Amino acid sequence: MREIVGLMGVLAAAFVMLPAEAKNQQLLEDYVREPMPRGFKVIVADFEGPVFADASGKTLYSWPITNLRNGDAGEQKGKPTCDDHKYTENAGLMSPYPGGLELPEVETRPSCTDVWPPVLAKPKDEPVGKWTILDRKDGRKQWAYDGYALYTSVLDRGPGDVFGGTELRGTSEGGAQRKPVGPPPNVPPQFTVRTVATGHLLTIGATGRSVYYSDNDAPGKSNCDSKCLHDWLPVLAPETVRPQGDWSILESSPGVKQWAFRKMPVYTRALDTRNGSLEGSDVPGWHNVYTQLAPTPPEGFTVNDMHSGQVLGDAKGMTIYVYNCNDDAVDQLACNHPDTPQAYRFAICGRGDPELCVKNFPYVIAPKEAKSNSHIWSTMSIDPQTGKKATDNAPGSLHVWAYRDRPVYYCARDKKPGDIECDTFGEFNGARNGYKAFWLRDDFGGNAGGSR
Amino acid sequence: MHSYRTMKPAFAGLLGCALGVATAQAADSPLRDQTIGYVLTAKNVAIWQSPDGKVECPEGVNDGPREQFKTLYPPDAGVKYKFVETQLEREGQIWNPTTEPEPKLHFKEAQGTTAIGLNLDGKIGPNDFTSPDGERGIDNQMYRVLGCVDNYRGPDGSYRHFIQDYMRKFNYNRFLVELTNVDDLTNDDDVTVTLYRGKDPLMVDTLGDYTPGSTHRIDFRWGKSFIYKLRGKIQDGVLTTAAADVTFPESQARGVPYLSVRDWRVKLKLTPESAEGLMAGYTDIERYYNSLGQNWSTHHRSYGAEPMTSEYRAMRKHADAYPDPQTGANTAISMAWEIKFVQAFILHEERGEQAISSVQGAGAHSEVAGE
Repeated sequence: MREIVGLMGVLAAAFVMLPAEAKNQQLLEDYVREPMPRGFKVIVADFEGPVFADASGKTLYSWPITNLRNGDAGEQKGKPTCDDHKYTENAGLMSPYPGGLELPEVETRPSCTDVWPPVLAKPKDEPVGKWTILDRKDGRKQWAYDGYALYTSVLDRGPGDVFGGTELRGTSEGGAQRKPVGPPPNVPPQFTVRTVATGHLLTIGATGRSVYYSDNDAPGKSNCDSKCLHDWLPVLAPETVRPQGDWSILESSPGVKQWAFRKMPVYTRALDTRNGSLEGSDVPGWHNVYTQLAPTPPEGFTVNDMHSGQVLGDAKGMTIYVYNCNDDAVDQLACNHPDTPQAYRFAICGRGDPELCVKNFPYVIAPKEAKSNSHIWSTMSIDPQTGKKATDNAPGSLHVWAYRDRPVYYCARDKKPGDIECDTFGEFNGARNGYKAFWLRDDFGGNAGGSR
Repeated sequence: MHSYRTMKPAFAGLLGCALGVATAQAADSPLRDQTIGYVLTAKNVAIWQSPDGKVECPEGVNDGPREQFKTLYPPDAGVKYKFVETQLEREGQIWNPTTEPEPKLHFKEAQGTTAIGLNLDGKIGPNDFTSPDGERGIDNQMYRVLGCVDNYRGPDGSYRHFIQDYMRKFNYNRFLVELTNVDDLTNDDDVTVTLYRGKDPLMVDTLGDYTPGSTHRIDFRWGKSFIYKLRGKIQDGVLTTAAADVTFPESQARGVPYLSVRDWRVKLKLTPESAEGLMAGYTDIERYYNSLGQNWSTHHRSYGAEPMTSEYRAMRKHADAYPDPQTGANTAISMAWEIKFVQAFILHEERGEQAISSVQGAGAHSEVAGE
């Protein structure tokens, strides 16, 4: 995709992921080419990596069933439930509050299909591979992948937008959320790819151990000596494997085959104690391997240390926050976007008072000339009194930074770089209706998408 | 602070590598080079309970979020409630607490004059408690607030369960205490007590009990703000420390998982294998309240019937230290925790044979479910 190709140089500069020889080569995640129906394609999105899209380039999503506090929500395989019913009451799926309460802005609340249009199949369409065709209750036919019904999101405006959901690991406390759907990454069976805040992290499938490479090695050659091998364990390749795509094999010692990714020998780290660890990247010259890096934030954003990892900050290091919200109706619609009801956010940030909200959680103002290099970061005009989008230069509007098409915020309680006084501020640790710091790395918990 | 575009992680363990390794001492002595370490294995808010609970909680324990919601918005009132006016109003109150009265809600404070804790101010005041063993002047006003909240009461209060569970599951809360310059573990009037955050798992035996003798690396990468060096003394096998303002890691890596306590100190009975006793100090009310909301979740508060907004009012009412210079209102409240440690070897180096043994088989942390 044109926009993403333009990002490659920026990505290479952001984290020293590859040696100089490999810069500006393939930095997007390779994926398994599966048979797919006509009219669909794969787009490599700038954070989510390879995702399926319809003919117009709109990303496809599924809604897997999720166990919530007081019941399940989402869809089982083969059974699409997202329909045109307009729910007016909450379902009481999240304790301790009961169901049956009239939802905010109920008169204009959309139906599930208003927000998540089903991907419909034509009468002559035929199933292909993992792509199947389901019968909807309204009599129409709907495409499914791996059994799950497929939808597009009204939030996505063009190819490469993935604003409806993310693969970044969250918790079920955030509700039953939609996930972008894509082909599996093209990695050998002993590896797996984990989506974390900094990109698509390569790990060992069976153990979850992170995979690293060293600046001290050369393409196709390991220079890890006996002292190095005490801490760094070569990832051995089975005897019969053959090179393919980004993957090659080197003989690090006679008869011992070692995997190389994008030509660089790969290792695990003996001292890593947790799955998906980034700790090895603290050792000079060693780096985690990513199949694809997350796009860098716009110019001026910073990375700041705190008590268990790193968070994103502004130019002065003040922590950036995102707001999460999923309503408690059967169809689990998001309420964290400026186009959705703001009553949820106003309750948390200011007990219903928009002015208090602006004081407690100020928007991150973007310069008028601000530009983003990715789909995932953008600017927008916001009316702070309503929390909704405003026309550019409207009186009283603010020009703010947005991540995934939602404004980002500061926390007024933060006093210095790295403070995260408002992390998990809100219901269910800030996942259901509240704020979370923009985590980039968490060596102790799962806040950046890693394991706990 | 790094530019995102030039992000380059700092070195791990540099500080630790500058420190030495214990020299040889008697092989069977827990003191190595006049040093002994301990790792925290249990922590509970100190709650004194009478045999039937009637002394401190004559009206029983408090209502939780679910019960308070029913009181405020009775389901049989024949009213069609709106989400904004009920649930969101309640959530707004929780996250933006005030001291305004709650006329429909009744909060049950702990009664009586007995409480567990320490005499923090060296005085015997009219609001002070007497400890179960008769020591007067105990400062623990938080007991008034939390004493009748089910989450904190034994034996099976929800937080009591989860705090210990998380102690075992996670590493974020690894709290290390190292005693140096120790001549005698029974009597020594001048020892140095250093607090660290560790980063290795606790070691348990086949019965699931924590065992002494495990090795713990210090978290020098992220945990520098948790390192404190304090003066202490040991008398008749009991360690006490001088008061200091301390921030220590809380139970889990969520939200703002640390607590800041003013005039913090410990009183610990030491043995070569363990340490057990109290820590106490004045807790900043805003920080503690926010920790309750941010570290724990709505369902935890429901399990243990924890009425946060009512607690906030009670904390403000019983605050007993650190007045705000402008308003004169106290900003902190006296509090105590019961704590247990086992002896541990604290490794000041990232790399070493003991460290290797401590991480063997520790790679596969299970995903968390059903909390």
